[in-house]
Amino acid sequence: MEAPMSKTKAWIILGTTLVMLWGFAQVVGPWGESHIPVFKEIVEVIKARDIDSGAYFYTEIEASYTGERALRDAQILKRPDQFGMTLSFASGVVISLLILYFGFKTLPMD
Amino acid sequence: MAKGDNVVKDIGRWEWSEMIKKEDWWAIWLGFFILLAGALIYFPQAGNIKAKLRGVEDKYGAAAVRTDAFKTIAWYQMSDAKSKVKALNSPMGKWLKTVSKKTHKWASNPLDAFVMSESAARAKKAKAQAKYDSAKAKMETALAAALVAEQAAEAAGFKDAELNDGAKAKINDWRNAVLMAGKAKKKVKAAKPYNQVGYLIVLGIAFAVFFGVGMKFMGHSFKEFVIAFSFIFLVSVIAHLAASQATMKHYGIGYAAWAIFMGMLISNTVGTPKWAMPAIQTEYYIKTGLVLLGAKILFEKIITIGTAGIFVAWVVTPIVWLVTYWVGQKIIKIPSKRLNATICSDMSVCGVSAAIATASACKAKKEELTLAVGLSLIFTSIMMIVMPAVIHGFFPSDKMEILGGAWMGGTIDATGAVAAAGAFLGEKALNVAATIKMIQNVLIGVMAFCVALYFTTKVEAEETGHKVGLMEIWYRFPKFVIGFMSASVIFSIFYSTFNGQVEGLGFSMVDQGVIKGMSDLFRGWFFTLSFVSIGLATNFRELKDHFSGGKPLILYVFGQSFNLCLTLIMAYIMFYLVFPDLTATI
Repeated sequence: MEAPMSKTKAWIILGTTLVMLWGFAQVVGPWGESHIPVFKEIVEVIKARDIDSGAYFYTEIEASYTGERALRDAQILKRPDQFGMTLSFASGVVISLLILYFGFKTLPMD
Repeated sequence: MAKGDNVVKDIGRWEWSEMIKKEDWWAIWLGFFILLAGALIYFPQAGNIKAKLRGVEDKYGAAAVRTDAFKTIAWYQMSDAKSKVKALNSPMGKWLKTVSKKTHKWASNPLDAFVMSESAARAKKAKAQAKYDSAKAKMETALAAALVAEQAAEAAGFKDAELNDGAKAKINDWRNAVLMAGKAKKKVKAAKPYNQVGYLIVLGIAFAVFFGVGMKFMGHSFKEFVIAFSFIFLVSVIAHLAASQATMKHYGIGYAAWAIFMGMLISNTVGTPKWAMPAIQTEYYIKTGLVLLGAKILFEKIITIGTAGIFVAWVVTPIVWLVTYWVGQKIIKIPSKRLNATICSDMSVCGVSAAIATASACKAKKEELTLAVGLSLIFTSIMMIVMPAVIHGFFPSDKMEILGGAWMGGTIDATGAVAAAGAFLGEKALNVAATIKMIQNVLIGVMAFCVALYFTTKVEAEETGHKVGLMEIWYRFPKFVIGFMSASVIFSIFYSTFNGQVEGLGFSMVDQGVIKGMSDLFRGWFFTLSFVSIGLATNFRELKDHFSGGKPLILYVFGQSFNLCLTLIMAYIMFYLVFPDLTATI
């Protein structure tokens, strides 16, 4: 069993890590934003549109709702006959479920 | 496994008392308590919201659909007006949002995350107001130009292609101006003085009591839990503080990464205090959060993306999951099936939230979830920068937005990064990418159910050495999955029923009511608490053991490469070869 770390060493590591994080947030990170190709433009878009690029789920992003509305309404306006639970759409869902059913049934056990 | 009478068989037994003694059931009760409270707060407003939506339709409806040659100004105005009708705009909704708010965004002074003085708010508002005034003026000019162009097209009966294209271009300019003015207005509104400290203390106490009640029933000390919880909550606040820093936001490093990191930093240096141990209840917090997550898995949403999108989001994803799992078992030989499944989900479905759901469904170890989440976060940040650059550099310009958007939506793990990368390419790319990701999010429920069933009936049967019958499946099945799926089905029914009454009512009442105005406010906190718990209980050495020769990394890289190829091929075939008519509507 490994000997526990001394208290002084533990606090020094904790403090140093926090200082390094601060350095990333204030110096290294902003430098990367302006020097990594394309990233500068992406950051500008993130700022201008106030996007939370750290979000994990669709409800945390406003664009999920605006995008959903835009695509849905556009289909209803221009191709209402092809919107909703059409045969081809339903076939996509059924194929997905069949893949899952047979796939999980035949997964290897060893 | 050894054979003989002395082998201990892990046979599940059902007892009714489980329903008040097991954390799976408490996760269901607590999750549904929040959802029910949300329904009681917001659903009585249905009549009022319905009247507002009908008012919008009466005002713009006829003018909005007078041509299908392009989306008219009235069409957009109707869409904008409908999206502003939200149940959560009620006084109770606003209060809940304020109380449960995480830390505010800050750049160089961490105190800005908690407190903003009257004078600082005034200065910020003045700056934001100047930008808004300028954006508003541009928007009005653009609207005037769009109206002239639209009238010219209408005078020709919307039959002159050149005039139609001219109107479309002017309307697009106006929409961009509307977007910028909207963002500028939001910043003016947000420039208010605040002091979040008091609210955070109230929230911490409320959560301690909320989870403490369940702990008491499960046989633990309420007092010890509440005291211990203060530490877990404090570390959660620190994790949110780090996640709300401007640079960290730009790099897409969210609260889950910070929660695990902060927890691990403490436990592997100064150590987790012993008195905080009773509140390290990873599964309890995570499962309650997952029941809340279930409520936003709304099945009607899958229709949004249309036939082409469903093949990209729902057909590619299971294929990638299954093939990657097979490769992980047969070729890479990942020692843990649970780690394999968790990595497959976070890589193929939607990152952190899918990893959480799968890890809980297959009873993965906390280190396995940490590893899967870590891989996902690293690759998300890289893909958010590299993919738009590749699309911008190599894709034909007429296919850049839709094909590129579908490709990124189907492959980048986290929704926030998908939106950032999509917005860089343009409005259409953002819409397609965000919607594809949303439809993939809906698949979490189905995947979690399949994984839970597979591990209960096959993997656990093999591990315990005996075949499981129907009742045994029920005994062993992770019960919170039932709560997760039930929440999804119940709220999908509510959503469709509301939409059946007035188009958009589901959005206003469920999306922008119970979900965003209630469950979402707390789910993020619960996941943070669980990730902090994981970090506080994880040893760097144990984590290293699970990394065994870099196999998880190899698995992730293989799966993601396969995902990138298959998604791109499927998106091209579906959007451009099979359903070009539908693609033209976007």
